[in-house]
Amino acid sequence: MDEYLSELSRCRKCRFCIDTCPTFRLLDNIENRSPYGRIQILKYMLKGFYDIEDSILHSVYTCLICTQCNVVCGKYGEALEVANLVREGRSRLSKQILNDSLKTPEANMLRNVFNLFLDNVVKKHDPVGLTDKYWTKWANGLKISGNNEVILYTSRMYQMIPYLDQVISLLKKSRGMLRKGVGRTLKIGTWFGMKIIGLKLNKALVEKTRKIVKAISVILNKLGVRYGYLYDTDVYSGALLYDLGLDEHLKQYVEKVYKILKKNGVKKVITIDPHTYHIVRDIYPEYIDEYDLEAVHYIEVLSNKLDSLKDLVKNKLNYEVVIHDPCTMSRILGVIEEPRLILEDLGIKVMEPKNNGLYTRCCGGPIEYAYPEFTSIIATERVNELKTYSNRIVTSCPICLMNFIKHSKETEVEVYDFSEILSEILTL
Amino acid sequence: MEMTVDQKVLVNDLAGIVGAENVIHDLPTRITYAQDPMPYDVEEHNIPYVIVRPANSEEVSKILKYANEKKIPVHVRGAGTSLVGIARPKTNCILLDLRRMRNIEIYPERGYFEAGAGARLWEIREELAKYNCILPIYPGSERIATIGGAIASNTSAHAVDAAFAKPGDFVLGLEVVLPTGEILNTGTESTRRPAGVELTKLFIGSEGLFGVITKVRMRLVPKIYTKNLVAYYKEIDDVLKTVVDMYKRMIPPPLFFEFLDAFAAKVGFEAVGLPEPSGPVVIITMHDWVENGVVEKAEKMLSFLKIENIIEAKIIEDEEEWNKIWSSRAEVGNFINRRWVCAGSEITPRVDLLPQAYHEAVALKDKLETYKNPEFCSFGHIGAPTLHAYYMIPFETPNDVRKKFIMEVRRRTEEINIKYGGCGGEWGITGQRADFIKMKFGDIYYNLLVRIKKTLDPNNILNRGNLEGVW
Repeated sequence: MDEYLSELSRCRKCRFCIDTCPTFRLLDNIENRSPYGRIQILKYMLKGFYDIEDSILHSVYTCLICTQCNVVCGKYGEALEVANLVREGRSRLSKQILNDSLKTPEANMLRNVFNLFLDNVVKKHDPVGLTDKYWTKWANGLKISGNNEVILYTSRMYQMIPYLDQVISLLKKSRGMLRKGVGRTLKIGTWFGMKIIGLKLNKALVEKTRKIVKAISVILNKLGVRYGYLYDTDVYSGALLYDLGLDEHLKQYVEKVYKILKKNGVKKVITIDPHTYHIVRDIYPEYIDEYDLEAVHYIEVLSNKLDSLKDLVKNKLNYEVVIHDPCTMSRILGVIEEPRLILEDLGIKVMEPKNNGLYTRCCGGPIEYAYPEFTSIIATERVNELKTYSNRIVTSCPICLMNFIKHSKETEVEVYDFSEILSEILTL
Repeated sequence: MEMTVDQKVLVNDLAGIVGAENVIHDLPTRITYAQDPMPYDVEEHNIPYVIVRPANSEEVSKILKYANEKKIPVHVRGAGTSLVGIARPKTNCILLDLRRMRNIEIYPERGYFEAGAGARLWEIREELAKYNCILPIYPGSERIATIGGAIASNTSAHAVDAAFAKPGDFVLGLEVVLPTGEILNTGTESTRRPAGVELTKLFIGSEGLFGVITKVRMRLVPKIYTKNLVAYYKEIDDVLKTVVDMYKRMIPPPLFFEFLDAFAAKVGFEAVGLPEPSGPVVIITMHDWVENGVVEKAEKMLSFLKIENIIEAKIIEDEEEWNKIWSSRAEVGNFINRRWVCAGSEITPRVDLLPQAYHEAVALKDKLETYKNPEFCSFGHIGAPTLHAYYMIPFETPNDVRKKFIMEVRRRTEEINIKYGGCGGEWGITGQRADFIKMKFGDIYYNLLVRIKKTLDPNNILNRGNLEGVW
């Protein structure tokens, strides 16, 4: 038996995972949108009970890969890496979706969205497809003087948020067309490129995300960390391709990024978001022989320099925040204590939500590319939960940040990136 | 799949009742709903035509009226966690999923709460805790099990019956939709349950044969205090004797009285990082509504354990230590389920016959025919008494052998039940156990059940096959 199928078959169908899954718990409690359901659907598909159809795609691509199910399965089940098995399922399905043989609405939509991201990532090195100096504007006026042995690797993630925000609403509006299969008649990238030019960005969000990256850069500087920045060649990491199971493209892209980094003499990257950290630390080595890049997250760097950080304190802020652990940060990367240590050391009172650390709940972001209504429900629930502890939410992931901000008005909360809190306290 | 009904028409008609978005008819999802924890695949005749998700009892009523008129089987289940195959449809059917009906309302001034059938035990427990109340139902599946399923199977699960009785004993009334579509309200809104002829009890534990429970009204149970004990043994026979003596000597009943055989104790304790015990282990929780009461009960239990043949017994005050000890039991389940295909059994003998029943369960390991010499271990709620004897075979075992093996273990462990006076316990009694009813109680009893079913469900639409023992 195929090793993958035998792993799926280890699920003993206890179903204990289902209610921890946001797409089960918050979206009508339907079993095909639960970890259990996804495992069973993939298992029976591989056993030949049915061919690929839209319900399978819906089930598999609505998974947030938030890995909360992994924790439950580890505690009560067969310790399956459930979310990884679903991602592996995507890897198999994505090939079929892209080869144009499936003409169903869900397949059409996914193919169009994949093609859009792929076109952009492959040609322009980011999922939204911008070539201008937009990506590096945050660094204007900064002197980043280190050599490139160690770099600050933004992977364009925070900078992307204002565009992503618009792209997603554009995708949402165009869904009818995407489901019909527009990609076959008009090249999706071209069509999208035309639309994207006219986008009106949220200026406050542009400003906010620039400030975030800038603050991280300046704090590291002040702490005496020496690093370089690759400017135009500070390209996207490919994390989205990994999540969507576009593994063949990911392989090519990863090799390309790795080449860029090597060419610039990079030996170590300081990442600033969990998704980039994860892919560079854990996934790149799977694709590259003798991979030798060291990766670290800036929060880890800071947590090792607490004393110097304390010397920078300008304002003792006498307030409290509720902390939201990004799924990837806590469950996959294991960075849980570090942000707390830093905030508490700097005099911030950190409120702990009931679902925190390993048990944190997803912001809904990972499926927003195709199921934004679901994302909205999941994000709202999480914001409302966090709000019962404090109306100041702090997180350290650009995707969580974007999704929470979207719901901040109606829920009356303020959403901050971790670095924003630091820049309020420290002399920068 | 060969259809005896036109699926398109069925979907369309049901959509007229619950809305198209609440009728699921794609094959992958239907198989997902048909699959239960049995370690063998769903077969064609298990696959529902549709999953239908009503929002209220009126919709359930319309669905059942429609199905009854067309003579289409309807399968109703809770979270699908039955360990004796009750949750898996035995025939193509309309599968009724009641998870949209999960409203919870707590009325402290009336002394009860009401919950829609699809409400999860976990959610109810969390809500009740806000009112200083507990939910006296303790299955391992509590995270996902529904109150409808728990009451329809009337399972006390891990709890010793003598501590809290069955959950059904807390039920004040039910809303039930009959297979012919009538909506019935039973019981009382008083905390005083009616004595005498009263139909609530007919539906409690009816396993979806007599009607669809859509709402449950249950008495509020005040918060309890607990104290925990652990006892280490040299030999399993001493554990079994302790249980017999506990009943004989009228020791106050514990809420939980679990045991791990020597193998289970070893792997369970190792998994939670506790020193390896040299033999079987007993884990006990005493409870009371007042703090002094539980202290006294725990002392009494400790004194009793000390006169038994034990290595050591003690009250565990440290919460962290207790959490580890308690988790060791679940870890045994994890350990065996991660290594083997496990055929579980539930043997609930007459208390004084527990030792004989236990040894027969152990000896069965060498007598099984569908798979020779499986691995064996046992643990469970021995103080209830419930013995879960597990017979375990490799993952590589083919699907058809797995199924035969499960069925053989079921049949032969039920023979032990019959021989030693037992009859189910927490897992329910139809499904794979339908033959057991005939074997244990004889034709008159079984036929009476069939006649009651026919009176309520003239076309035998509800959970067809579960009473007949059809596979």
